[in-house]
Amino acid sequence: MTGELLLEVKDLHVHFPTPDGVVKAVDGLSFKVHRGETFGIVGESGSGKSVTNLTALGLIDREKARVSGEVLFMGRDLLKLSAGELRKVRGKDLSMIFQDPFACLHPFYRVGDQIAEAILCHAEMDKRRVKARVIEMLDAVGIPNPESRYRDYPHQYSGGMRQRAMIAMALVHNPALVIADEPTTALDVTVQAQILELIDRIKKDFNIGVILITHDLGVVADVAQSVMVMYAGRGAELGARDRVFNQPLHPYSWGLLESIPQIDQKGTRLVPIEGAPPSLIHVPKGCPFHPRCPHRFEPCDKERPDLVDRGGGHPDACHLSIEDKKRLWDERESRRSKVIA
Amino acid sequence: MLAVTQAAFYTRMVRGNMLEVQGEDYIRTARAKGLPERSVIRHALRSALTPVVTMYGLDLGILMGGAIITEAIFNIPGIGGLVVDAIQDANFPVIMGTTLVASFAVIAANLVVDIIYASLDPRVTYS
Ligand SMILES: Nc1ncnc2c1ncn2[C@@H]1O[C@H](COP(=O)(O)OP(=O)(O)O)[C@@H](O)[C@H]1O
Ligand SMILES: [Mg+2]
Repeated sequence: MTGELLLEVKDLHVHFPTPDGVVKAVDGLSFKVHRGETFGIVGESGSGKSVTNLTALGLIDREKARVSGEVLFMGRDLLKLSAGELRKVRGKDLSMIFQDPFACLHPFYRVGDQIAEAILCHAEMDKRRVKARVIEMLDAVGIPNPESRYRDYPHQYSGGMRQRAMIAMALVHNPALVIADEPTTALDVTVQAQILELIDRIKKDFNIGVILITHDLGVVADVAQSVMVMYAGRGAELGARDRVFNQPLHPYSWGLLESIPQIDQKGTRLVPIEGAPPSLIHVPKGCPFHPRCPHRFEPCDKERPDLVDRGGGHPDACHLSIEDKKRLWDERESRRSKVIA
Repeated sequence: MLAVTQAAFYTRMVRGNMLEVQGEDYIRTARAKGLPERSVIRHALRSALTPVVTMYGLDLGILMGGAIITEAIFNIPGIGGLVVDAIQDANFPVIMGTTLVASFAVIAANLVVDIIYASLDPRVTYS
């Protein structure tokens, strides 16, 4: 990794007690994010991606959740900060972009004023300088005619422009780390590519760290340097992008990779992952993926595999031996790429 | 006095709206950018109060109807009492006159409400 360590999540647990049982949304998760990298978090919906990051920012209701572990951000444990201290970090050194740009801006306030508010809650500045800064940021994220667009309301913006405005809002204080939670899921495909490109560009221009959450491995393939595959609130595999894509070690990652279309390889089959994601109240014992795993063997329903380096070159949480992993993945690859006549 | 009974209803409505609005994504955005709780509540109130304005416009008509009964029962001089007397006397010009006045009042109230609503919600435009 290139830059300094920005975020270190250590053994994070987030459990929600509900009348039906305890929802183990995050259950022993650890990872690190550095300056200058885009860290992709991938997993099916319901795997705990949003809860992880909302917990880090203190945006979940701590009364309703049991949280343990550490979230070290630039050396401080965010889980131990008071609400007031956390507020000073949010939107300043650590900011967040959300999934649905249609719902994330207040419909009754001008876009420019909403960004101005983000500036003023961490800095004292006179009105004219705030406005100049907002216009500068709108320009930086590629919004045309930023002076006149300042005065528009969110409904006068397109989806892509609203997401650009959200990105501008996240960047006003030159944060160290930006968390983007499915920033392109709600957008058209062409707009998705533009927004990803923008996120990649601001990461380089501002030299920040980015956590990019998505359920789409294709998104991560384009812009991330590191990837964590999440399953049922835990890490299944964690490594450099090229390693995870070329030598994936976990059967769940194999399933994810086989379910994305590859335009350049004609005739490859799309294979869906069998079964449904587990209930987070009754998480399967042992490896949570074992009921859906075609390669399961004795230990899988008994022992929980931790996310550690098992000789595969990067950490994974699967009991199979490294030889078996290599062989099985190669077999699956060759089976899949057989041209269907 | 009639408005007092409705005040309880409005309080409940605002409370319900506030709870609902708290779950909105833009409120989460407001928190995510680091706004103090005071400002977050201002954002939420802005959304929670707007539908109340519309309700109030509709309620003015009911208030008017209620006035007829109250004034008649308690013998308070007013438009309501006048209507009841006129109906009992079959005094058609007065019935028509008071109905007209009441109608205008309701229409005017609704117009005012629409104008206020448009100033609260920028998505509402006249065309
Ligand atoms: N406040 C809450 N109370 C109970 N369960 C919750 C709460 N918030 C999230 N969950 C549950 O946590 C799980 C993980 O959710 P989430 O992190 O949003 O998934 P993802 O972002 O990966 O799609 C889901 O099953 C969701 O229902
Ligand atoms: Mg999510």
